[in-house]
Amino acid sequence: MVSFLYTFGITRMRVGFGSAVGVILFVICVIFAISYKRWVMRNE
Amino acid sequence: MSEESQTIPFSEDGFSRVAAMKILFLAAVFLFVMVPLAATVLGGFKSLGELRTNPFGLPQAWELEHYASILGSGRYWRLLGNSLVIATLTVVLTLIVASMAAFVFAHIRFFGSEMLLSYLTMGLLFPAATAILPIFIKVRDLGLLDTYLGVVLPQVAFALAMSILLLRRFFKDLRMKSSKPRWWTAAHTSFSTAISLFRCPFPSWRLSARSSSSIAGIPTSSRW
Repeated sequence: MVSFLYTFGITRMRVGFGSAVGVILFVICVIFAISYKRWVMRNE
Repeated sequence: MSEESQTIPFSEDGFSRVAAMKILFLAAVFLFVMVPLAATVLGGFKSLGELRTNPFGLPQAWELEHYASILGSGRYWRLLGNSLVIATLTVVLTLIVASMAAFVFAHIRFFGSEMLLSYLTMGLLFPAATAILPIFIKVRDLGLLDTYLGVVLPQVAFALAMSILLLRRFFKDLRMKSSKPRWWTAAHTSFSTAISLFRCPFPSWRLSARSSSSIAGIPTSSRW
């Protein structure tokens, strides 16, 4: 994923596209983290 | 003055200096985190020309093309799936191998164990970037190019040193007492710990509090 972001954002200079890739990855990570905390760590 | 009122960070005549400093510090941290994040989010809505002229402001025309093309492309999701598979395989393999090795180093004494542990922990001194060419040649010779294992195995190899160090300390703190044979206890404890480290939602797979409390009471050194 990071190499994909680097290829588009830096090498091909499509900075807006690279930003969008990073933002979507960030959103997915946040959703995963919140779900993990809510369901798996609920008893801790 | 009651104890409860003493914990309030404001003095009676308004802001105290400490409270003001705390708020200023937190505001600085907030800006330090949020400005790059907001610039990235807004950058996804801008054209390249606008990003150069106005990197931090709101976009003049909101372009949804970037986000729409990513969400609608199969390539992005395939790459995300690859990352997920590689990360999962790496964590699973590392935990299984490292937990078993760490258990042995923590509880079983044998000839050369200290030397072997030192040899393994020497991996911490060896950054992966310096070995990228030999790793590539070895992966190519093994025929693992363009496979998941070609990425997973080097990652596991470089993660083992730190994992064994951490898990060895963890196993040293466990107190062992069991009527079952040593090999069974060792295998069960290390494997169930590896599984429980995933925070597995299945309770029966975890190293339960009951089992760890029932084996407590005898010092580790006297048993192993």
